[in-house]
Amino acid sequence: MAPPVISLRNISKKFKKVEALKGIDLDITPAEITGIIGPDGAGKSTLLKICAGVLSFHGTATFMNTDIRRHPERIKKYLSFMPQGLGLNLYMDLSVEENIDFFAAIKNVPDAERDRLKDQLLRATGLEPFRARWARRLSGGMKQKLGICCSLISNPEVLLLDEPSTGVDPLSRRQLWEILNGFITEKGTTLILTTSYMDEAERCHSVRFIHDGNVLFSGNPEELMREEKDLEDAFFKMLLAGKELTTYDIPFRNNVSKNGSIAIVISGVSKHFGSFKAVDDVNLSIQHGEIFGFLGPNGAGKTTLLKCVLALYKPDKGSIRIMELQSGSPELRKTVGYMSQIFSLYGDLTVAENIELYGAIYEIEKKDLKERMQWVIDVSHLAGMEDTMVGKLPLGIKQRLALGCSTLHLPSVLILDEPTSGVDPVARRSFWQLIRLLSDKLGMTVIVTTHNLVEADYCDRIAIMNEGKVIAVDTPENLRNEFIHHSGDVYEIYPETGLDAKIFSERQIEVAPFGRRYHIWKKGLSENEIKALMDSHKIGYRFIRTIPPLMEDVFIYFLERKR
Amino acid sequence: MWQLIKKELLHILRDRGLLIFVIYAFTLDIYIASEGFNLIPENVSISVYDEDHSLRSRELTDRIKPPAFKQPDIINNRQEIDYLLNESKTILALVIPDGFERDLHRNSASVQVLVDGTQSSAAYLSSAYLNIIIEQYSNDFRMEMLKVNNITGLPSINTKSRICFNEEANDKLFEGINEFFMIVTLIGMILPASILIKEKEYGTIEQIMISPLSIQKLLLMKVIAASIFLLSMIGFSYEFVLSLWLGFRLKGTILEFLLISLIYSFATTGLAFIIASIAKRLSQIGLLTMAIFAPMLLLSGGWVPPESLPEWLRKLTVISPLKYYMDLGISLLIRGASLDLLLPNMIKLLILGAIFIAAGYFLYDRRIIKGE
Amino acid sequence: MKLGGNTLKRIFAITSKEVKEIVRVRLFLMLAFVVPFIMFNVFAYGISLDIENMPFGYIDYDHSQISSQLIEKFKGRNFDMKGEMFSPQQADKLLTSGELRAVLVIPPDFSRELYRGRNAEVQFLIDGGYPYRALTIKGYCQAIILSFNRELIGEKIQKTGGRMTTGQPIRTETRYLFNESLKSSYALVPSLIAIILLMNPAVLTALAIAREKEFGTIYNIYSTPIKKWEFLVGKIIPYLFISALNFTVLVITVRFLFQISMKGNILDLIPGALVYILINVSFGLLVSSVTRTMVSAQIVTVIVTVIPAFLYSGLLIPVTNLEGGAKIMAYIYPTMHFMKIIHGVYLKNLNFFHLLPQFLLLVLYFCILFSLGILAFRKREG
Repeated sequence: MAPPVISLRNISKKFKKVEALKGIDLDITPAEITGIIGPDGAGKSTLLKICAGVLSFHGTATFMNTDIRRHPERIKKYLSFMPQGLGLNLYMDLSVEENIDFFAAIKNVPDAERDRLKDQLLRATGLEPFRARWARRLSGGMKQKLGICCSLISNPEVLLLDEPSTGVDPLSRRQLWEILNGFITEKGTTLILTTSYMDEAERCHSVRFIHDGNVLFSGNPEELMREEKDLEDAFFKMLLAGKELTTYDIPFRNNVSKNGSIAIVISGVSKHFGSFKAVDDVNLSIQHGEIFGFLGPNGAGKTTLLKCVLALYKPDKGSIRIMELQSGSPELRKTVGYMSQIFSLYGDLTVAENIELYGAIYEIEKKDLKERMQWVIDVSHLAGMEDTMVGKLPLGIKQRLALGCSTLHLPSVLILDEPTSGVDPVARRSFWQLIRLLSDKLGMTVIVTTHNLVEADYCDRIAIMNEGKVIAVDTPENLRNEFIHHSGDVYEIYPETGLDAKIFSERQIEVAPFGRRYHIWKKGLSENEIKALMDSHKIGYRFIRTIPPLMEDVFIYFLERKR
Repeated sequence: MWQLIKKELLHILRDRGLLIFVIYAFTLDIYIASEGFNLIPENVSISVYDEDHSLRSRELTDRIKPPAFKQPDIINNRQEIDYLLNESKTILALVIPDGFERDLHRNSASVQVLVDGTQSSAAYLSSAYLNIIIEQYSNDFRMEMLKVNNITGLPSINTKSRICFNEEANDKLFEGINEFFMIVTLIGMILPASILIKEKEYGTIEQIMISPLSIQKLLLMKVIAASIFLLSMIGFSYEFVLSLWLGFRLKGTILEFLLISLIYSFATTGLAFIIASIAKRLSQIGLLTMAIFAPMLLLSGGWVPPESLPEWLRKLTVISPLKYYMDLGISLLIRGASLDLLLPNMIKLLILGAIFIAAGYFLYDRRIIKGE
Repeated sequence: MKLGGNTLKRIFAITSKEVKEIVRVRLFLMLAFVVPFIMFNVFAYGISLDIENMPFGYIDYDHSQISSQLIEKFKGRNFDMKGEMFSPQQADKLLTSGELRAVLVIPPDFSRELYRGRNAEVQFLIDGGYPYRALTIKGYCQAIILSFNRELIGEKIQKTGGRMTTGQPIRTETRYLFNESLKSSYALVPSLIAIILLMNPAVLTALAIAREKEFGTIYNIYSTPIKKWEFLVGKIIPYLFISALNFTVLVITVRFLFQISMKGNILDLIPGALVYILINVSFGLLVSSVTRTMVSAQIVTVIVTVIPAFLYSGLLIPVTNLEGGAKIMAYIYPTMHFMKIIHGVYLKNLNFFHLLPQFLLLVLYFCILFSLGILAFRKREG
C-alpha cells in the first residue's frame, strides 16, 4: 500500500472548555475518497481544518511528509479546502467566472491551464451558461458546484471538502460526484470529505467514523455493511451500542381525527418573481393526518409553495384552502404550525425562554403550557438544560426543539421547511419518529420539504417538484415501482479488483460508482447478462445483487421523463 | 405582553458587543469628553518680549495672569520669539518695544501681539482676551493720567457681567452634558435599528408572521423594550456618571429629564426605522447612522449656535429633533427651567417624533416586512 | 524580497476582487464617499462660523438719551436686538427658555451719574448654558463698553476744552502669523482633513477584513499558499484609492466651498497625505485582526480613532496646553504630525523638504503599524 498522504498522531484540540478532538490517530490513503462521518459536533470539521493547516492543535500531523504544525504554509500549495456551508468560500458579488479566476490567481495557476480546466469544469457542472452571473444569484446547488470548481481549478493533490453536498439537490449532487470521481481516477487526487449523509458515505472508498472526539471505526464501508443492509443502520448500531432508540408518547390529545378527508387543497397556484416562475400551476390535495413530502432540488419552488400555503406570499394565480378556509384567514393562525428553513428559534434565549415565548405568542394557557413544555424538553433530550442558550445546542437538538415549539399550540396542520438539513442520521431518524408520532397520535397533517431524497420513505406520499412544477405525486413505493418498470432492476456489483466503468457505459448500461462497488441498471438487464459481461472481462466479484432503486435515481428518472 | 418585552430586553442584554459599547458610551466616553473637550482656553502659554524694561511695561505684563494665561515667559531676544511661534511652542507673544513708557506718556505707544495662526480656535479666543487686557490697561492708564492732571469728573461705565445658571462658565459641565446628548442620540438610533433588522436577518420574522401575534404588536414591543433599556441607561448615567462621578450639580429632577428623553426617543426610534429600512443589513447600520447623525449635529445648536447659521439652515433646524432635545436638556439641566416653560418645545418634539415614526414605519413596512 | 510575477499576480487578483465587490455593493460605495464628505462639511462649516446674531435684550430703567446711545451700540453683527424687556422676571424667563442669550440692565440713575462725571454701572446677564458662547458674548460686551467709555471721555474732554487727544494711549497691532486673514477657519478647516482621513480609511479597511471573516471567505486565504503580506497589500490598495479620492474631494472642497487657498504647493502635501492614509489603513488592519464581526470592527475603530483625533491632535486644544498623558497621546497619535504638514503647506508655504522630519516620522509610523498588522494577522485559527 502507498504511504499515507496525511498522517495524524494523537491529535487533540480544545475550544475554550470543549474538547473537540481527544487524541486521534488517522491515516489517509492517497488517490482515494476518504469519508469522515459522524454525528453533529463529533469534531469532523475540526479534523478537516487541522489537515488543511488552518487551525492550531496538539499532536503530530504530517502532510506529504511535511510537519503541518511547524510549516503550515508549505503544504498549502498542494491542497484545496472548502469550508462548510453553501458557497461560503465564494465571493457573492463576483460572477461565476470571476470567482474561478480569483482562485486560480491566488493559487498560481498559469492562464492557459486555468482556461482549459475552467471550460472543462464549467461544462461538467452545467454552469457554462451562467459564467457571467453573480454568485449571489445562483441557487444553493449551483453555488456548491461553483465552490468545488474553485477548489479544483488548482488541480490539487489533496482536496478537503467539508460537507460538500449538504443542501445540494440530487441532480447537482450527481454531477458533483461525477466530477470528483473523474479527478480521482484520472489525476489520482486524494479526496477527504465530511458528510452526515450515509448514502454519500457509501460512495467513499474508506470511512472514518468520528464520535465525541474519538475515531470509532476506520475501514471500508463494505466491512460495515456486511451485517447491516446499509451504512445508516450500521452507523446506528455503533452509536447506540446495544441501546434502543428512545421512544416517546404524547401525554395530551388533540380533537382532530384522521378521517381521510381533505385538509389542504391547492388549486392552480402560480407565483412569479419578475420573469422567474417560482411556482407554476400546482394542483394538489393533501389528506388529514397525512405526512406529505415535497422533494426537489433547491430552487424547485418547494419553499415558495409552502410560503403561499402559509400566506407569507400571495400567489399570482390560483387558490389555497386549508381546513375549508381560505389560506391567510386569521382563524388559521392558531391551526397552523410552521418551522422555517432558516433556524426559527432565538439563539440568544435559553431553552425555557424560547418555549415560554412561543407559549406567549400563541396565548397558551399556563397549565397547558407547563405540561407541553415538559414534553418538548423530554423529546429534545434537554432535561436539566432548560437554562442553556439555544445557540449553543447542536443542530439536531435545536431542530427537535424547534419542532416542539412549532407544535406547542397543537396545530392541525404542521408545515416544516427543510427541517433536517444538515442534521446527522441519528438525530434525523428520531426527528422523523417524532413527526410520525405527531401524525399518528394527534392526527396532525404534516407537510415537509426536503432535498434529502433518503427521507422520502418517511413520508406517506411525496410530490416531486422541479422548476416550479409538480412532476409526480404518489407513495414512495409506487414511484420506485414505476422506475423499475421503465428502467429495470438496479444491481449492485462488488468486484474483486477495480474495473473500468466503460464496460457498462459502452453497452448503454447506467453506472454509478459507490466506493469499491457499482450500481448499474438498464431496462431488461438480467443478472445472468451481467455475470456474463463480468466473466468476459475476466473480472471476479464478491457479489451481484438487486437492490431497491435509490430515490435519487427515481427522482432523476422522473425529471428526465418530464423533459 | 411582558413575555415579548422580556424577550427583546434579553436580546439586548445578551448581545455582549453591543452592551459593552453602550456601557462604554454612557460612562467612560462621557467622562473623557467632559474632562478633555475644554474649549475655553485656560493657562494658555504666552511669551513676552519686553524691550523697554520699564515700570509701565512691567505693569502691563503683570496683568497677564492665570487662569486665562500661564505666567508669561519673559524672552530676551526677538529671534527666540520667532522660533517659538514657528515651532508652535508658544501660542501668543506680546512684544513691548523700546520706548514704550515714553510713548505712553505721549499717548502714542504701541505693542505687538503675535498669534500662531496655525493654532486652534482657542488661540483666537486667547488673543481676543489679550487685546481686552491691553485695552483695559490703556484705559486705566489714561484715567490715571487725567487724575494726575487734576481732570476729574469724567464719566465712565463699569460693567458687571453675570453668567447666569453657570456662574463659573464651567465648560466641563456643558461638554459632559453635550456628549451625553450625543450618546443618547446615537444609541437611540443604533439600538432600535439593530433590533429591528436582526429578526429579519435571522429569519425569525416569518415565524411571527404566521402566528396569531401581529407584526405591529411585535414591533411595538421591540420599540418599548428599546426605550426601557435606553431610559434605564439614561437614568443610570444621570445618577452615577454625571452626578456622582463628574460631580455635576444638575438642575431639574431626574423624572423631568426622563420625560423629555422619552419624548425624544420617539423621534430617534422613527429615525431608527428609517435607518433599518435603508440599511437592510446589520453591518451597514454604523456608517448610515453616522451619515444621518452628522447633519443632525450641525443643526442641533450644540456645535454651532443656531442663531449664527445662515437663514436657510436656521429654518432646517425645525426638523432636527436633536435641536429640541438640546434646548430642552440644557434648559432643564443647566438653566433649571420649569416644565411649563419647556412645554412648547416638548410638544414640537412630540409632533416631530410622530412624523418620523409614521414615515419610518411606512418605509419599514415596504422594504423590510413586505421585502421589496 | 523578490517580487516574482506570481506575487504581483496574486496581489492584483486580491485587489481586483476587492474592487469588484466594493463597486457592486452600491450602498457601501456611496457611504464610503458620502460619509466623509458630509462629516467634513458639517465640522468645517461649524468651525468656520463665528458667534453672531446672538439674541440680545435690555432693560432700561433710565430711558435717557445716553442709555439709548449705548443700546444702539449693540445693534451690530454680533447681536440680534430683540428689544426691551419690561421686568427682570421677563428677562429671566427668556434667558431660561433659551430665547435670549444676553440681557443688558441699565440702572435708573445711569445718565445722572454719568452727567455728574461719576462711574455708572451696567449689568450684563449672560446665558451660561453654553459656556464658550457665554464667554465670547462677555468679551463682545466688554469691548463695546470700553469703546463707549472712550467716546464718553473724549466728548467730555473736548467739551471742557482739554488738550488730551481722544485716541488710545496704546495701540495694539495684532498679527496672525501665517494667516493674514485673521480667520480661525483658515487654519481649522484644512486641519479637519487630517481628522476625516483618520477615520474613514481605518473603518473601511477594518470592515473589509471583518467581512471575509464573517462570511467565511477568509478560509480561501488561510488555505492557499498566498503570503500574508501579499493578501494584506492587495486588500488595502482599493481603500488607499478610495481615501486618496476622498482626499482630493476634500482639498477641492476646502478651496472652492470654503474659499481657502493654499499658500504652498499641493505636490508638497500629497506624499504626506498618502503615507498618512496608509497609516490609517494599517490601523484598520490592526483593529480587524482583533475583532471578528463587522459591527464590532466599526465600533472599535471609531472609538480608538475619533476621540483621540479630536482631543489630542491640537485641533480643539493647543498641544502646548495639554498635560501629562494627554500630551504623550498627542505625540503618539500620528494626526498631530500630519496636521503640521497640512499647516506647513496651507499656511506657511513650506515645501516638502522643510516638512521632511514630519514626513519621515509618518513613514516610520506606517512601517511599524503595517508590520504589526501583518504580524497580528494569522493564517490560521486559535
